[in-house]
Amino acid sequence: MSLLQVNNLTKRFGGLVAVDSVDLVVNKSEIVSIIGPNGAGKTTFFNMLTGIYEPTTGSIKFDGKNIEGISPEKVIDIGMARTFQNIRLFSNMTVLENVIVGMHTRTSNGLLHSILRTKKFKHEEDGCIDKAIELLSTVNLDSKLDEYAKNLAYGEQRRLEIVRALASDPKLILLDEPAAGMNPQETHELMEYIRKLKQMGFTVLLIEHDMKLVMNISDRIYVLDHGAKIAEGTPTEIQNNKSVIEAYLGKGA
Amino acid sequence: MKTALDNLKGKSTKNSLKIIIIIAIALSLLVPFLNLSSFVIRMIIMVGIYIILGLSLNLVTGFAGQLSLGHAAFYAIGAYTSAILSTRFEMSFFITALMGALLAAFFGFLLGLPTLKLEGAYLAIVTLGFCEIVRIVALNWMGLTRGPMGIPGIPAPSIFGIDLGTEVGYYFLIYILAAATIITIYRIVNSRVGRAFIAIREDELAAQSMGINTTMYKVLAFTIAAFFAGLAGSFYAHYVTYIDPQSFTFDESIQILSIVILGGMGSIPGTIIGALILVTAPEFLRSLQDYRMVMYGAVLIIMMLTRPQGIMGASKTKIKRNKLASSKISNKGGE
Ligand SMILES: Nc1ncnc2c1ncn2[C@@H]1O[C@H](COP(=O)(O)OP(=O)(O)O)[C@@H](O)[C@H]1O
Ligand SMILES: [Mg+2]
Repeated sequence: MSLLQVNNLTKRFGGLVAVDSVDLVVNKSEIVSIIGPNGAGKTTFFNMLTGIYEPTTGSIKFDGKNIEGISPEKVIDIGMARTFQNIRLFSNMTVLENVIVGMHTRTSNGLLHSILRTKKFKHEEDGCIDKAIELLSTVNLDSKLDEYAKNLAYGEQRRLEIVRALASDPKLILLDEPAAGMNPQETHELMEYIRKLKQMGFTVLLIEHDMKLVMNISDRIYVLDHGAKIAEGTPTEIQNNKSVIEAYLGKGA
Repeated sequence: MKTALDNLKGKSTKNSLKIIIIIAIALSLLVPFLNLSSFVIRMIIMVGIYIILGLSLNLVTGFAGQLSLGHAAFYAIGAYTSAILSTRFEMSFFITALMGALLAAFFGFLLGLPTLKLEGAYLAIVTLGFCEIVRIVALNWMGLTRGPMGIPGIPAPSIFGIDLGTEVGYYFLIYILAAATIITIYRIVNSRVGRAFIAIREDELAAQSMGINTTMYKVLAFTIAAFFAGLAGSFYAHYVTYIDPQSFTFDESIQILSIVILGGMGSIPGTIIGALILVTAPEFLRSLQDYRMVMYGAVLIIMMLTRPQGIMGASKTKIKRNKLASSKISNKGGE
């Protein structure tokens, strides 16, 4: 069953076609990766899915609904959460707070409950805290609850950002180069973690440069180059695809 | 189950903080009976007013990250509303103060709606302009505000026939208003709503991606802040018993902003200390009186250069964890 169905998606910035008529499907409980050289249009593609950019043309169907041009704050509501290539945590908030902000759309305490510290307020807060700690323990960050996000090591920040996205109970999670800047050990742990996400029933759409990681965990891979999709298939198919090899190593390789 | 280490680390600092707060509250309740001079009492009451003004501005500027240069406008709206209603219709302070605060909040909402889509400098300029418009209206709408003549004879507050127009009365009134403001803002900041404000300050795009309706929350921050500034204005009007447009100029906005920056953007204790310092300093240093604006300028520049996070540092909200959650942690640590 397809969870995400993208048809003919295009984004133009002036004369530049950053994403060029791309079709893509993600089925439930799959790990799908998008690879391609820098500037291929991968992040731009994510930005259109998550409402940050409005597509020039094309359609995005998520969970049965057309969502192209949706506003960014509604995206997480319908079940799509993301991380950013250039980590965007709330630096001066604690680890715990960052995750709880991720639950914003799944909670409802408003001004009145907050000021009056009602039963509902406390109940919801306690629930958030417990859930956040549980999520953080899956990435070994539960010992750093009160640490400010800006004080975490790079790899920890990447993990925190994933957990913040998971906090919204997304149906689909979009990861933009989660292994960037990680050492081999951390990358390996990340790989295991993404596998675990799949087992837990999450669906993952992944942008990644680390080929070992991509080839190891992806069910299917899409390859973008200069905005256009040049190949799609299983890891084995992609590894043996001539145009992919050309795009990565240059013609004549 | 708490480990001994847990008790040592968490509990003792928490307890000593509690004790300090209790002592501070006890002392402050004694203040009006210490035979202090009227001058000192007056100064303390002004500190109370500026705590409310500073905290409310801090909500918008320190916590939600939206620079406002027009906070005095809401202060003025509260003061004028309360003054006009009580002098013309002889309404009780407690009703006029509420009306003043609500009307200020309404204007905060109206101003926020179109302008909070603007960013940084543009927002600052619009709020500055709004402050100027309010002052000009107060100066020229003779029928309503008596223009430059101001409104004299604003009655002292009273409750159940008890006249609060005494030093003790004013002291406890502002004490309660300031305490209510501190508690309310503290609770807002340490909640889902407050975390949304801070998230917007930290990274607006990421906040949006977390599902936070940033425009709505910015308008909300503005509206709440305006409400409390209006409340401070109402009290001020009934305290000094005479107001004119001179009391609510751009200088006033800058003084409030200086308190926030000196004390610490996003710090509640910082704002209280900032108000204490910036309200009392010119009184102690008489020679500084004529150079107030120079002093604020100097404070702003020095703080920006040496300690941009303010005396008390940037926002330090920490989620209070319940027993269940914290016991989970200590168990884990013990494994
Ligand atoms: N907001 C923008 N305005 C103009 N050009 C952009 C914008 N965002 C991305 N681009 C351009 O689109 C192309 C694709 O960028 P991007 O999606 O970030 O690539 P990738 O993530 O695959 O490295 C690049 O040439 C980039 O310069
Ligand atoms: Mg990218």
